[in-house]
Amino acid sequence: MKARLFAVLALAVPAAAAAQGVAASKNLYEISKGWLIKSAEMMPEADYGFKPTPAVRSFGELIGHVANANYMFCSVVLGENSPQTGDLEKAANRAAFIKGIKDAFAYCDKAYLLADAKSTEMIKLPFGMEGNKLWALMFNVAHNNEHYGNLVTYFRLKGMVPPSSQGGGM
Amino acid sequence: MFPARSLLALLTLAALPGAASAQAAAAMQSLFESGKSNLIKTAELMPEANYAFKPVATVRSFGEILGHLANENFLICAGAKGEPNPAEGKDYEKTAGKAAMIAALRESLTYCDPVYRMPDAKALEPIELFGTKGTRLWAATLNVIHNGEHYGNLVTYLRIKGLVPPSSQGG
Repeated sequence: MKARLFAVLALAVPAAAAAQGVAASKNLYEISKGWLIKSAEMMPEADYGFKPTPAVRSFGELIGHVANANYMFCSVVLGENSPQTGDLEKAANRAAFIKGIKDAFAYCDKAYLLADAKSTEMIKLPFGMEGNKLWALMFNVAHNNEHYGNLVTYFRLKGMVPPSSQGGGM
Repeated sequence: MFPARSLLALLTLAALPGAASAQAAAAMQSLFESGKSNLIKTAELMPEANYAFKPVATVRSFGEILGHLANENFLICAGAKGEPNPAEGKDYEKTAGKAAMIAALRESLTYCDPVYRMPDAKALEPIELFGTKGTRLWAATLNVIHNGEHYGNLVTYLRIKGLVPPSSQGG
């Protein structure tokens, strides 16, 4: 019953325990980052346009949306202008979507190296919401996982096993 | 440029009510609360006849996902609190009936509430969950993203049934 959750936990906290606030979010960020990149690489190009019902984003649009969001959250945490160019939901093809999400995560990686002392600094997201930097880092992970949860169902509908369920032993 | 309809909705719901807190556990609280609200509304929104719905044979039904979340909120929050799981031996995935499933989900989320009100000194204490070492805050964060991930499943189930998920109902 708890097989998939155990898979999550098995990946968690590789060596030393996460002793600090930012480390608690970085650990979880890394797990779903891995799943999302694998997801993008796993889906055949022909299914990048797949959507289970017309009201939702296609597989590719979800990958692009997650990439957009990572640039947004992490540039705010880093206190920089986002280096993103263009709307990644509109990437031209599979290779461009994969590059988009990989680049977004590579950019975001820096934000999860934030010193705890800075994690309580206040920031404002583009829509006017305010919180501290740790909150924004956690929000980004929660958002990544939520959309990963969409993708899981898309994979299953295509008869594929999502990355988080490929650990074996289940 | 940022085309984030659902993100915008999520942001609205996740807003810190008044002044933002400077604390670590409090940073999680607003995210837990918005996820909790989305999940309860989702459980209420789906007609009972569709609780057994699954988009494909290899996945949990709508109801089973809710039951899974009830199980895990008890389990993870017991770990974060450092106390025995009050739902030990129960499997809420097997709960019969919509009303009972909503009650179980609510109960599990309510049990979690205090985890998100811990002072930082407590939140950063080490714990062990399934043999993995982390802080109470880490377990609290894991629970929120696990809730969010399965909420992401439910969003697609609702959409397939022609329903608008709670996080997209903000207008």
